[in-house]
Amino acid sequence: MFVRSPSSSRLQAVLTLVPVAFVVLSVYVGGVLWAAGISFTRSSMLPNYRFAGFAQYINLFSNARWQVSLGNMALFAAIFIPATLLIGYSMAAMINRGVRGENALRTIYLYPFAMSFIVTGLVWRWLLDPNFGIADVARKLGFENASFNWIVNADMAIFTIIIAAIWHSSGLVMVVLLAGLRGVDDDLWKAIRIEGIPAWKAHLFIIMPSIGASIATALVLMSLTVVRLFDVVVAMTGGGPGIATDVPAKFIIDHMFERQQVGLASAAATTLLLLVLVVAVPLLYLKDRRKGAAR
Amino acid sequence: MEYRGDSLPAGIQEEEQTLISKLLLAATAATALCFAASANAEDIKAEVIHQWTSAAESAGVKVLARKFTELGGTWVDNAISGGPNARSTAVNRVVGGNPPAAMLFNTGAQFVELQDNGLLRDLTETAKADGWQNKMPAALLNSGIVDGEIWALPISGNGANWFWFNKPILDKIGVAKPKNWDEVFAALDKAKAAGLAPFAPSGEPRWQRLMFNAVVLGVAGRETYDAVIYKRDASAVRGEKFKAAVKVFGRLRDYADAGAPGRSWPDSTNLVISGKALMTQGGTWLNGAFAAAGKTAGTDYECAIINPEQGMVISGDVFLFPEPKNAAMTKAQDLLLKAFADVPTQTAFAVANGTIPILKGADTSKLNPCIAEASRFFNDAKLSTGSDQMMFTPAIVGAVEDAITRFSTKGGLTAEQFIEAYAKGLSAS
Repeated sequence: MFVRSPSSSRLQAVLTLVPVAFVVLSVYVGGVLWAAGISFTRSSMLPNYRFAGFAQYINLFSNARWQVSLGNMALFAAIFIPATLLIGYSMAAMINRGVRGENALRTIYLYPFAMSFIVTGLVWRWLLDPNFGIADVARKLGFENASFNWIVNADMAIFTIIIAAIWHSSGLVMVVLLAGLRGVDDDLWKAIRIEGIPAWKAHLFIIMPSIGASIATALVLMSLTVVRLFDVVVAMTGGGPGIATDVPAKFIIDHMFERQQVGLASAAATTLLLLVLVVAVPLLYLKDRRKGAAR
Repeated sequence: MEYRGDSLPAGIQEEEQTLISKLLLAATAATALCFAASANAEDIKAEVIHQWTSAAESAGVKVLARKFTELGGTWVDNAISGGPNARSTAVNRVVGGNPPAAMLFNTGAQFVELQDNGLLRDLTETAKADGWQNKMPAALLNSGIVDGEIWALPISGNGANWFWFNKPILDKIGVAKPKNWDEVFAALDKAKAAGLAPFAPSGEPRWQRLMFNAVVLGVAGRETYDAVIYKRDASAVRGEKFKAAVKVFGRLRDYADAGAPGRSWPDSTNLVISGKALMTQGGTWLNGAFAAAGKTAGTDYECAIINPEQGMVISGDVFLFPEPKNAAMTKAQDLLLKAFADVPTQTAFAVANGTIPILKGADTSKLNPCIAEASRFFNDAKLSTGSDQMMFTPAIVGAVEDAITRFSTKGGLTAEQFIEAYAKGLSAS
């Protein structure tokens, strides 16, 4: 039989991808659908299939902890994503100007990211401890009335977590954006200099748009951090004081395992997925259209 | 007096060595038998999933394992750090059809759904043959009974409603060990006036729940406590006595140091051990922390139940035995049951573990004064009652815990809102 080589390589590609596709469909998509299904049952410790309608969702949204969790995630996203992008970009732009000791600076900036979120959380927890942390150092230096108690204050604790997370992740954003900046053509910089465009204008209107792909990558990475937010909260505040720093992932894990409320936890997980889709789908659509326009 | 003195490490080492040599012996013997007969030489292997990983706890496990080995079994240890982790692993294994021979749960309603689905072995016959009714405190044994049948073997016991004091500070402010709430608040005020942190509670939600229960029993009394915990009686929650307990809990909260929210119990206990704070609250396991720091009960620290006539809240761990897959597993479980319910083994385990010996007839002479006192409460049905975790499903424990931690937080729920949230939490599912 005569087989043309292009189609045979295509067949090879298809064959190679079949196991991956199978895993993706059965494990990921299958798992998601199963969890969504379980969220409509009365499952507690073990999954069962006694239909409960929207009862778990009604329970979920009347649960104060869940409401606080969602609010915290929104607040976290609103501050964390712009702040890491801004700080990361500033650090990248600075290093890109060819400062001395670039390697050392790059290492220092990226260093926090080498630590796990758990370690980050524990370090910041002790730094911010009202009795033993920075506040104590300040008192010993002579500022006797110094006090910094955000971490034990229900209204402010979430901001301590945001600060720790920004410290942790800005370095990663810097590396991603620095790679983008290194790809900017030297001629462009020359043109900017000849035209005498102020630096901030050049960055905002010329350089940033030309590294759109890097910014999008950083944006996706930081958004994932927001949705996954769990370990730093557990290490720093355990969701407290009270329930002030609870986040959706912690709510789901607590109810899925310790509290044996699989149905409620699945309802929470499904809600979280829907929220992510509501945000992600328009973004992907927008990206697709821009690609189409560029063509 | 102290059972955690200098001699212990050597003791453990010795235990370890004998254990290892015994294991080696057993292995050699088994191999020899295999070569000799190749039949009837089957190992009685039992895999046990548990979360006992701290120094004292693993010393306790070794006692159990050694007894099991003596009886002719092979102990396959599967220690998983963290109770919820160990339990999820065990449940996944059971549901997946590859159950361990035994697994450790907290005393109480955690196991009910496994039993409901026919995944656990019914221990009623073994219990009858071995006379568990006469060996164990009723409150502990009853928590493992569903529909008149026994499904769980109690293995360790704790008292939960203890308050712990730094003795030199008590002496310094000239106060005797408090016995009632007025004396507690008087001592706290004096410590505060002396410029010390009066109260260093643990700030994790589950320890706040533990302390709340201690206050309910000590202020509202046994009748109200039992109505809430055993009958989930929402009207008792809305009653005057419960309200009084909420008020005392609120007052205690106001004496807590600034660093309390989110703090673990060992860190809180350390503040009392090191003389930075007068008082903390926690179960008999705190005694281990004092002992490990080389402190002696009565001279370095004091332990007390406030309003002791209302009794002690008991909690503990149980072993569950999954429905066996085959005859070999049944045999292994039988042997485990025999080892775990053996009085001298149980007592040696409790001494090593720092918990209360749960079987009657245990030799209490080697116990530290705090544990010995707890043991007295433990063995008196009039002076012991179950913890919320024993009677509530995990969903209810979680719901009331959320309410308690929100009330424990400054700027959180008001007393009225909290009482409503607690009452509502009693019907969570």
